[in-house]
Amino acid sequence: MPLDHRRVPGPEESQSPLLFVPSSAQDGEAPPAQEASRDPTALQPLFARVGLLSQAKGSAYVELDGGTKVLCAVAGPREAAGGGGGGGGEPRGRLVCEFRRAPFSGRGARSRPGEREPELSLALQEALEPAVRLARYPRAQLEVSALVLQDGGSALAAALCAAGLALADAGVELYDLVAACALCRPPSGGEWLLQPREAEERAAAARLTVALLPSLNQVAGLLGSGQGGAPDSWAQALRLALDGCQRLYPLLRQSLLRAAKRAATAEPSEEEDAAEAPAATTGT
Amino acid sequence: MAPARYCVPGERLCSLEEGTPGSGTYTHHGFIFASLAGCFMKKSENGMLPVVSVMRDVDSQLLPDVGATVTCKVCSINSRFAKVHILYVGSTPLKSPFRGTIRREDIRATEKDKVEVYKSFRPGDIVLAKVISLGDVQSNYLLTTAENELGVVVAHSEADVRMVPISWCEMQCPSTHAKELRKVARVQPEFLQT
Amino acid sequence: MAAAGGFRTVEPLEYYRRFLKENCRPDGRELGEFRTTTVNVGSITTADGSALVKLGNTTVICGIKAEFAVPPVDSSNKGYIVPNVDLPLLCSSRFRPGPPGEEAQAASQFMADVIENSQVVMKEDLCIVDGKLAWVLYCDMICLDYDGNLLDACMCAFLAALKNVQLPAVSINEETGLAEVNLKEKTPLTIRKEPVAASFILFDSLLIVDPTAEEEDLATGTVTIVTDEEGKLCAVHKPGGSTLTGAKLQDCISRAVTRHKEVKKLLDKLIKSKKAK
Repeated sequence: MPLDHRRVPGPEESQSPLLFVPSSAQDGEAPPAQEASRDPTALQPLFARVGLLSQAKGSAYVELDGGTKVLCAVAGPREAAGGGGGGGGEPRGRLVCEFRRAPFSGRGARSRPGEREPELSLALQEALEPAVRLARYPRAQLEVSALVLQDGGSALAAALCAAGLALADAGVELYDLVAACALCRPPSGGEWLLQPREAEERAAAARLTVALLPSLNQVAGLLGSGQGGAPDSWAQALRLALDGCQRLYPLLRQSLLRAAKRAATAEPSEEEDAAEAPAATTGT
Repeated sequence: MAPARYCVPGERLCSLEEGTPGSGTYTHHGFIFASLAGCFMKKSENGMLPVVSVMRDVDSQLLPDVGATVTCKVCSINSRFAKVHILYVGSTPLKSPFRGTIRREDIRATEKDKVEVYKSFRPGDIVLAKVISLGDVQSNYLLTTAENELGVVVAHSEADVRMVPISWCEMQCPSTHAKELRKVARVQPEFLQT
Repeated sequence: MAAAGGFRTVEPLEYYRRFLKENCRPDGRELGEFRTTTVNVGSITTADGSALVKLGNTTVICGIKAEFAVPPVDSSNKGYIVPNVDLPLLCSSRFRPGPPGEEAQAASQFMADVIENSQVVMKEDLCIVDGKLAWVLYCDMICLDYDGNLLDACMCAFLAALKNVQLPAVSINEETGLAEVNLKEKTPLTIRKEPVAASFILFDSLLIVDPTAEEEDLATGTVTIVTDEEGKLCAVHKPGGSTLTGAKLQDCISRAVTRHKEVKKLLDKLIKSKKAK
């Protein structure tokens, strides 16, 4: 690895202590019983909060019961870098997306800091573009950045939900909100599981993330990977995901309405805000 | 007054037969949908179809649009044009400035051929202008000051004192009494601050 | 109202001076007043220790991950502490995406210097087997909301996260010579010193405490003082800017000492309430 002068260097090599847990002890750790008994269509409880960052135009925080914590901020519209839109045509606005993980967000070894995830950034952008009325922002760009603070599974789906809320909070004109669900198929075959937790996701043979424009009922993004399967199986997964997204929608809508009403009643509720914020992030 | 109804982007508000789409909405398959999160408004005027719109409590950010009056700061000048940063659209501040250009021929309405840029603006001046075009791919917003209400509203003299306008083309420094040339805007009350 | 907002954007310096004349600041604080500070620990379960600190709007999260490494060749009985500050696009649109910019690099280096000089944690305490195995503490501080006074928030988040760290017990298997980790038995770190930072800006020969981002942009200089629990100085950081008289510097130091007491009280209360649970 080349020496990076822009960061404080550590030792050249380090390993996660999890690798040194004796295998006998590890068996006790994993709860295999839970996987079997889980309802594959169950959604993890989701907590969403809109408009909590002061410097961003719009922001949202989404937390899943499995431990996933994602923060998303929207900046702009600002003057597009490098002149107008792509390639001469009508000066349509641009959406620039960034998806990052905090170095401490994953289980096991620390990930290298600042690594952007180009593939997931692109997935984020492609799934959000259909939702944004980009024609309303000629010559400008909107910046969406998502940061995963803790990955407890289904992180991209949570980031998509948060990004949709943050865009709406920023007052960006949208066609619809974005609701997204992740799925994975356990290696033993069997049924697709909705909103997998980290342990399920790690073991999975195939993964799928679906983003939906819920009130228009249009699929905005689809990202799948892993071992192939019968087309029927994937079709079934898609149905399951769409149903999951529709069930998430009321939650997302509520959190946005709450923020809008909070803004309308202005001052007095700000106090309550401050009191509420720490509670939202307390983990025991 | 009935309690305000809030909506989120994507919510179907009504059919096109029941209203005309206003700001913060779009139409799709003959229906009006919300495109902003905010307060739902329906306003009817003398028997016309009511205008359906969604308002945000916080000013939703604007982009400089053709015909909009903008406040900008002059960055640099040359003999053909002045380059400016657009800071405000109407009375709404922009979070980040957009660049604009005021060409020599767009500085004033009459005797266009006699205009000289350096007798109209200086870097640092605060100018009121109107957007005439979004420009093409290479250029940026094109602005004009060819109206009585448009032009320099705040300027500092060489002694770095804020000058007072004394005519449509001159401003005077209150401490040195030196006069400097500007394309002065007819003073608007909201910019009159001590 | 539009006119007042306009004044603030067009002539920010003049706007700010008008407040100072009345001995207050645009957000209603007095010159020597810190913003409300809240601390929250242990919210990130994937980290070995974590803390979220809010200083007014400024928010910094610090996550610490502990890993194994071979001790450095020149000091075989020491572990590593690796602090890094990240200022992502998310926290303010003034930052660009990509590798750490100047401000993030400077903040990382400042944290590294304070850790090295103040001996918060003795690096010898992190050694497991002399010359063979030691702990590395990767301390990543990410700013989530940038509204000025980054260093104070980072320092506070770092200290709180450090107090939250629980390291698993390690034993060496005599047959294989490899380390064995017992995740069920965890112990906290021994914290030797508790550095707390207090930052000031210089503005027209006035000293203003805990600046917001807007105030920092207008300031002609900044000073950061780090003290430990005995009131001893750990670091004085004054990167250029306008000059400061000795008397003023004394003022800064005594304010920093009182600030330390405030923060320590906050942290102690937090740790106590955690233990009660």
